[in-house]
Amino acid sequence: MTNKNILNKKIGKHNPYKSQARLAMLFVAPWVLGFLAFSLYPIIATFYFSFTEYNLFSAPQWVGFENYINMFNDENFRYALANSLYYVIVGVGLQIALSIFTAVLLNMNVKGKSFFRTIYYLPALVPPVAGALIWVWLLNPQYGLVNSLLRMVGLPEPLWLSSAFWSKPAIILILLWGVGNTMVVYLAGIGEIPRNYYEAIEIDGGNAFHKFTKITWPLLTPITLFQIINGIIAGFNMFTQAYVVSLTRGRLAADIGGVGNSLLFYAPNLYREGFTYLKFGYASAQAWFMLLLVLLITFVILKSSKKWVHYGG
Amino acid sequence: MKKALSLLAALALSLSVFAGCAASSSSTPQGNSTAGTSAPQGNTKTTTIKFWHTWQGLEAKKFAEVISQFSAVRPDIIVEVLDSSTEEKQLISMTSGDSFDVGLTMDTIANKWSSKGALADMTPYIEANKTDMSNFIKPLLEIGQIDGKQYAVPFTMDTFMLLYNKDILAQAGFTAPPKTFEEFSEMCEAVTKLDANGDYERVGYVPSYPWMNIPTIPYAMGASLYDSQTNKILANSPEVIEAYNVKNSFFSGFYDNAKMIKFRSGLGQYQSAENPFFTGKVAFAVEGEWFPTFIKEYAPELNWDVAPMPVVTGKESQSGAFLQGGMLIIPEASKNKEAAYAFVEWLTSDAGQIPLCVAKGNLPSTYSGLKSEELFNGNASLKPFADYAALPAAKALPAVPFMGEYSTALSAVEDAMYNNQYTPQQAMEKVQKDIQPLADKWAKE
Repeated sequence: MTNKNILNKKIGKHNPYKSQARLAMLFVAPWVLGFLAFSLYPIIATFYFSFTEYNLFSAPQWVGFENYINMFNDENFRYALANSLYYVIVGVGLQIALSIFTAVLLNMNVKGKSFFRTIYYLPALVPPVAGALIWVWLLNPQYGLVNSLLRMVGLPEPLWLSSAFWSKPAIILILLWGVGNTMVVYLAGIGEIPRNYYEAIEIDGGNAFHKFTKITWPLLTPITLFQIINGIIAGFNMFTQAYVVSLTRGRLAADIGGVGNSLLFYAPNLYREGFTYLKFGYASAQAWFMLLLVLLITFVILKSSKKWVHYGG
Repeated sequence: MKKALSLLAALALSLSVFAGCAASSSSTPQGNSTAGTSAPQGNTKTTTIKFWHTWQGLEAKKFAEVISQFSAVRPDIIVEVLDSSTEEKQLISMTSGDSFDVGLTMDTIANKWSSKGALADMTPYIEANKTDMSNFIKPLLEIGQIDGKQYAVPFTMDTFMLLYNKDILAQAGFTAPPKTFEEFSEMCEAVTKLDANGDYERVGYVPSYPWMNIPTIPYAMGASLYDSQTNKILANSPEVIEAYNVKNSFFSGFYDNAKMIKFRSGLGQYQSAENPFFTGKVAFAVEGEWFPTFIKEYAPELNWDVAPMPVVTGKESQSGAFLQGGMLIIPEASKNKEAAYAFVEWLTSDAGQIPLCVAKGNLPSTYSGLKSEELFNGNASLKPFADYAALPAAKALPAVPFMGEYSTALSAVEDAMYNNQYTPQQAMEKVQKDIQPLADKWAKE
């Protein structure tokens, strides 16, 4: 007799678990229905649209792989892909490095530890639009606080978001400011590492560097794997910061590329192709290309993870 | 299993971009207000139409007051007004099955939407009502036409002129505004001042503030952006390249490029007392007819005047204003097209446009409106703009469905040009190469 049958027999007709299960389903239903209607259906529909020319108002016209082929002849698409890859590789790399570094620092036994933890986490709570607006002013080349500080110590003052060269580093700086979310996961991870591992290193005469490279880093690799994949996905989807920054430069919603298209990222470009230029077929193809690209990258990272991720005990 | 779960999680998360698109469709429009709510008389059957426009705040309030007059003319039509609507909201409404009936949108968008079949052909209603279409400013009316059918009607109009700070010019020894682009350039250099750090404290003119005004300088220099006879983009014509040379001269040559970019980035908010024209950080501004209303509000003490845009010597007769119209549209999905057109016709008549133009500081989109005494009696600062707009060489943006892409391409390279990424010639060649295929594709459709 299976466990299920035993359970059923014991509980009999008035099964409180069964009614609870129904209730649970009822509570879950809005999300499931929402997912089916607003996520799954659009996803399947966009797959079909990606092979058509579709402008919302007339019936989609089948064009085969034309949208996918056109992407590679489209300069805006190439800019968007290159900028997003830059953002993902440099941004996510720095984000992880900084998160671990801060988490290790905040794990040290210093006075006011909770205070520092709170301070470093706080920016993660700022809504993305508000955060981007704050940084637009902090990075203002003329009156911004960042350049005032650089001036005080005699360093060169970049033009930040007003320059094609500095605009992406500036956007990455905005990303790094909100590093608290990643940091807090690492902090929890470090807390899980048993103290005696470190004691063993101390007994063997190891120093802080050894502790990090031999204990902390390897035991945090499952978290790092998760953060890398998450970061890549979020990086390709990044919309708000680029959109807000472009709009504050006093331009139309259609002009979302920043100086010399240096801030033309994947999601805003896709949005513009669809909602401004009414090329929903082409935009769908771009969305699917991103999905496949992210899946491929995720797959490669997961494959490689066998070599560098250590699943502790 | 772990791998499968991770892949699934990756899939779900990366799909959020699709969900993002879906989420934007659920945004709730704000700023509802209702005008023309007079009770139906007797047994008269009333029709309620929804009018969505993009104006906000005080302008929306003034608009609502004007619209309320419509109920006296057509008590059988009730107009529900939604202000602050955006292009995206309108697009979603048109495809949702519960469309608005009349919308106000930008010229480039109206043409794009009509080319895709989103908008109703107003021609049958125009013919039935015998509306005099010859009274509309021709280049603006053309933006709403495809194959002789009218899909959008211009409603209110903007044009841009050269505003100057009389005190700053007088300090530099000039008593009159510039007539040619050489004089303009000379005056701009003469009024330029550096601060103690060697940064710009004041310059003559910043062509990228508050946004890239694409056609005003090219049109003033007699250039055109498109040739409708041959369906050719004229971005790389000598005239357009020369116009971009002029624009670029405010960021190069006499001016230090990096310092100009820095100066531009520090300029204050447009609709505020911090506008650089109000604070004297710039001596000239290329501004629209609404701007005198702003001056009254934010800088009433400013000693300013307005002049036609400079011209190129020998090309005076080809110099004309850039005309930008708001466009009234009726979506194909509207269920009340007849009532919607009645409202469009009234709104675009002098009775609808003039009171609004007086209150808001805009030009009407009709020839009769541009000569209206009522307009100038109500708002005298509109007179020079109306006269300038009436010059025969005045032009609107080309009436082509790819104008959105074209203007985005132009403003993107303009920005890159100021950043030394392209010379004006390279910038315009790039636009030509990118946009001409869209024109070719359109010709085939």
